[in-house]
Amino acid sequence: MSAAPQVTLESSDGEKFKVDKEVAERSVLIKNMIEDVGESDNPIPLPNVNASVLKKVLEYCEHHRGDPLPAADADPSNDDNRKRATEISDWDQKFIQVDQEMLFEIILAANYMDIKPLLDVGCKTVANMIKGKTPEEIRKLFNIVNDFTPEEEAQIKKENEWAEDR
Amino acid sequence: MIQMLELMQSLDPRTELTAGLTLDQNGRRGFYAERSRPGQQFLRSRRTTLEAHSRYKAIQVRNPKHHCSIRASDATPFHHHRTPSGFSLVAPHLHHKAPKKTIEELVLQMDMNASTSVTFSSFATSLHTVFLPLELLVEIFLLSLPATNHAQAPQKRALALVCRFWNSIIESTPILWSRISIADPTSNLLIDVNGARIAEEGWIIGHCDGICCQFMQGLIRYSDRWRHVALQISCDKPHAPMVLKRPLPSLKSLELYSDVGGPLHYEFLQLLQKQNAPYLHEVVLDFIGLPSPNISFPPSLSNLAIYDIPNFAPRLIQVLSFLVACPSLTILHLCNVDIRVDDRLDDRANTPTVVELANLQELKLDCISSNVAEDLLGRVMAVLDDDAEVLWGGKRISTAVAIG
Repeated sequence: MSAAPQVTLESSDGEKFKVDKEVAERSVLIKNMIEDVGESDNPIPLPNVNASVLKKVLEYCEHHRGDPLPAADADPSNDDNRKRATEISDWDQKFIQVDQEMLFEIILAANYMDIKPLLDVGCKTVANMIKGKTPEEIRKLFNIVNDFTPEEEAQIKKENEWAEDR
Repeated sequence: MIQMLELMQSLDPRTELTAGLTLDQNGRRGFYAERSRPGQQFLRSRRTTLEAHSRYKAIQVRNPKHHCSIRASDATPFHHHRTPSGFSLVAPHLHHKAPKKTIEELVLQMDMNASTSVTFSSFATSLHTVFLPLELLVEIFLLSLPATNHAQAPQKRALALVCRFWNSIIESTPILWSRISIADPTSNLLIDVNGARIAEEGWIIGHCDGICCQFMQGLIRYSDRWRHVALQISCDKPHAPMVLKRPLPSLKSLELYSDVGGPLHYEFLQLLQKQNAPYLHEVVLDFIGLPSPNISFPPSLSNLAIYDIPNFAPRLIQVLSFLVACPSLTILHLCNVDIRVDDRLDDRANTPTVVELANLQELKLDCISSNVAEDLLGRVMAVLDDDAEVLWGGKRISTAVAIG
């Protein structure tokens, strides 16, 4: 029995990762590249993903290698999609328990590599961090500077008076 | 630049190209391009020489052989992202306002900006989310919103008050305003602000008393854009139902609530009878008075919930008839509906023996008399999977028992 076909990925900092083609093709970007250029021994460069992030992304792809792929024609603006719950599976929750910088790097890598389920996990995690917090708590959480003038802040509050919880 | 122009010339004229110039931290210029052909959802990447933490300056060129549009971004550091719509290296909060420039002007501006650049990495540890692409921030915001309409507004308000950038996203992203409720606006200014926002983006509102009715009259001309209509009726002579008289070609879900028992709403029946809402797939009626139990819902309907309808006492045959007309139902809730048993001979003869609802996944019957519920359940034929919910009187019951 022949071994599963493999491909080599090269991170932005030059580290090479040899992985099963099936695992790498969880990324639509890589799948398209392989389709475009055919099988090749040359490493596939990922100039926007460094080694530590790529390692983490590949860990996710390996765990989910057998999962059904999301439909390519899913409409992201579809209301039913937007309604989807913010639950995250246990394994994914443990996987995404990383520091904030790594979390955002994973999100950006998933976006760049076009791995929708991983992107979903990342976005849901951040959404859960934001949910129910006050502006001040959110600023503190993400180290965001409040760049409103007091007048601007008052104006926004006034414009949104109608949105007060009843 | 020559490389880029060569590439543009070599492409099929239908190709959309998103191309960018890059400057790394040492001032070296790089080149970046992605293309998509009609019918392809995702962009294919051409090789780039980008380095991590490069600064990007982007232009977007559509139909390059026709030179119809070149859009330049501003002098802010960008982060690389890709979207199906073809934007690539565009500062999310600026690209709407970006002036059209020639490539030469852009390159000149890039050269001028290069010496004053701030590297991405200097921001990376403090303002992560600011550098997430716009569509990802919007997705995160959407996921952070509660499911119910009324609870969404305070969360959006909190997000808008974080910083100017987040405020600009909240204000300018229509999808974040797809569900909205108005609670007693207290001044004309507020109505103007909110009216403009809702009208522009084509969504609608709740409440129907006093000032809100005037407000709705102003908005009604945008009714062909509305996808979700939630009307809360809290006065005896509501004007809100007038929106239902109009063709609503985009309408997907309709929720009618009342806290006063609701007067009869012929407008609602008119909407259904005239097929003014061909894409309607969700209807929620809560404490709304209906003029007749003879309701005919559109066949496209997939979610139907009827709660506490006063003086609405349909016979079983009428309920089964409207179920027969909605073969796509996936969710059906009937709560506190006074369904009468058919005991007339002609009714029994005409009552459908089986109602086939092949997609049914959730059935809730509450405060329905037991003999009616049994009769109804005995006639509904559905292929339910393991996750399907059948509830009767608030208790989950075996689907094998429940569904005849």
